[in-house]
Amino acid sequence: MPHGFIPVANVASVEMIYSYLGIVAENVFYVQKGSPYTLAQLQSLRGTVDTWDSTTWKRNRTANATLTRIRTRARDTAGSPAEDYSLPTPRQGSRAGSFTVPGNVSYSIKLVTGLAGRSFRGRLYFIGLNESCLAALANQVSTAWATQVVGDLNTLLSVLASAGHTLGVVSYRTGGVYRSDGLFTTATGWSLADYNVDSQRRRLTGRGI
Amino acid sequence: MSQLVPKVARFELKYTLPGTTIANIFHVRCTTTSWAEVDLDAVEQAFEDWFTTTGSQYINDSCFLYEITATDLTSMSGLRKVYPIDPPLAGNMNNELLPANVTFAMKASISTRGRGTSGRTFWPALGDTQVSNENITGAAANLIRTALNTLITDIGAVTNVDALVIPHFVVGGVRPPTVSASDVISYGYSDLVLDSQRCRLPNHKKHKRAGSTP
Repeated sequence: MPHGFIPVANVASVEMIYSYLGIVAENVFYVQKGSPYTLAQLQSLRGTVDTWDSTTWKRNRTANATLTRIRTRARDTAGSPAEDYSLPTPRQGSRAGSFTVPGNVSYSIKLVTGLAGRSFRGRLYFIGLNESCLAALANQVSTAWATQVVGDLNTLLSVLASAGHTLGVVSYRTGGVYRSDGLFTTATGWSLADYNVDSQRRRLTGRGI
Repeated sequence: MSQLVPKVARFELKYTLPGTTIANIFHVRCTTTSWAEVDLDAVEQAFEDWFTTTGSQYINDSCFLYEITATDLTSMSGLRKVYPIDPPLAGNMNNELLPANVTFAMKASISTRGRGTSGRTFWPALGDTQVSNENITGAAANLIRTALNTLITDIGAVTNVDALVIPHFVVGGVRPPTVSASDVISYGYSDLVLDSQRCRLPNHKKHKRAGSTP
């Protein structure tokens, strides 16, 4: 269903873009503050996320998943500021492991808001699993790794809050219909639904893109 | 809508993997007007034998063939028989099992053009030594292809069996009440990129889409 730009007041999107086994994969999340983001504020936001990846997040992913860009965009209007930042030195993951599992193998972590309904929860599909992330049963991730991932994402929530950004979930649709304005809901935290591996078919080369 | 496939029976090979069950479905046409129980028995045994001698060689040893279900699709009152395999037959590859959504699609060639007319078999229980990043290795792909081509021969050699076939449940977007089927000539692959079967993961949706095949 085609639609035009859907504004979300005082919100910025952050896209973490990876080079991963020959494809481009990305994770997106949203933050809000009390006024529209300026370019300088987007750059500051990007710096916060970049530092978090460098000091914390990269330890969870394989060396085959390389963070190459961080794209930020203010969502107030179609013409609002945006920055597409290429890391001067693309950053590989540092998770040791002998074997990177295929790109369609992922693991989803839930972003909760304390409200029920599809408009009020988000998910992040992890990029860059290797064998060391999996449990002895190959269809599950290890509890230690999953706990670390959730902890690191909650660290992001705290780091962003300290810098004046509120992490949240943005809903663009309700009842199958696009909203005229996106709805931002403050997130209360990241959590695990289970330890089962999840699937992202389009992260395989040439599949569905 | 019920669809009938003259002379054809469906054989569902069911496997266990850690925390989940998966299946591969094959269709076989007989030379008689409908299936006799003894003929279903013979084909089921041929699948078991093929798995033991051939298929299992390329399947991780955490995967077990535990049941085969045969259903005669000739009529709504056709035979249906469940064959428990006790003890279950294990795969024979001692490598690191990959998650169950990682698979490789082998295409069944029926030597007929047209979109959606060929069948596919999504190979179960791949291990780390069979893949490299997002690709299956050429050697592993060729071995699986050979194994499936052997299955064509093995099933075709069973008494009163015509061939392994691909039924065409949807033709031009329509589901005909009586379904035609084409002989499988050979198996092959389009490329070496791995494929995905999300429903094979534990606790992922296994519901059938509206209007799926019987």
